[in-house]
Amino acid sequence: MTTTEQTPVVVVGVDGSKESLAAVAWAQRYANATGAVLRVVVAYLWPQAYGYPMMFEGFDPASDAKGVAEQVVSGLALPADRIATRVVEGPPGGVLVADSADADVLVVGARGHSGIDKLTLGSISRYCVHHATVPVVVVR
Amino acid sequence: MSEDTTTQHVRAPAVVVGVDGSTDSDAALRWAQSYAQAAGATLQLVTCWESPMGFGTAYSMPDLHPVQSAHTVADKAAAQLTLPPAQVGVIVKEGSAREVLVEMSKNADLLVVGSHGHSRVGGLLIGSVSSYCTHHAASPVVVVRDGPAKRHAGNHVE
Repeated sequence: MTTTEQTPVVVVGVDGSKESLAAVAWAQRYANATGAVLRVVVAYLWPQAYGYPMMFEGFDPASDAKGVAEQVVSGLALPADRIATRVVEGPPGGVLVADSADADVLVVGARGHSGIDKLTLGSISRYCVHHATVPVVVVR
Repeated sequence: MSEDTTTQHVRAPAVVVGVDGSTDSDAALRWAQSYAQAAGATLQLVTCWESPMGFGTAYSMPDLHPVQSAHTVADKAAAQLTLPPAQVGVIVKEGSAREVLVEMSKNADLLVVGSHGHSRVGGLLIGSVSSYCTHHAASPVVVVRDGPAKRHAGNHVE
């Protein structure tokens, strides 16, 4: 099928965690059911010290983020013209809310890498639910 | 209308949507209906009511009919739907909405709630029920806000 301006867009926030892969699976099913384009968004931040980005040898969050996006895309069962990716520098909550503003729904995992068992909802998913202007799906 | 063939459902997926008559819950209902159409899911509308309590005892007031009001809200919401009746269920239950919805999410594939109920005050980013559901539900949760539809917000059906 050809995608047009009217094709719905599902944005899924990915950070490489297992939970975010569950969000991708949900988003893919939704995209299949609705004929939507699936937009995979990975946000990354350069750690800062005194306002300056810190450079460590061999440390490249931009490239890591791109790798996460590519790995997710390689696992998708959607035609290529229904997949989009964005790798964006910035705080993940803000990036996802801004990126989904022109989309139809935002999908995120309930938790990311936090690994704290008692945490029922991660900071990014909470931020998205509070601030997104589109419906937000929290996947667990 | 496409079937969701990528999942191994033996039964149709079950969507639960919290209904309280607020504009956000109306938006949640419209979203849930679009999703149910696209995914071939059943849709359960759930409205909760509680008796007002004073000093640990339920009391009644002449013009207060919580059960009847809840049924009115639920029926009004169901009347807005265009899904085939066999695909829709309406449940009116006594209890706190947050607890009832989380309990129902244990047997659902998706829980859909409005971001606020009737409580849009003071710039509150999210209501207490939707917040509780996103933290505690057993299923994925969709939080929907009232507002202008972006494009056709998931109404696209193959």
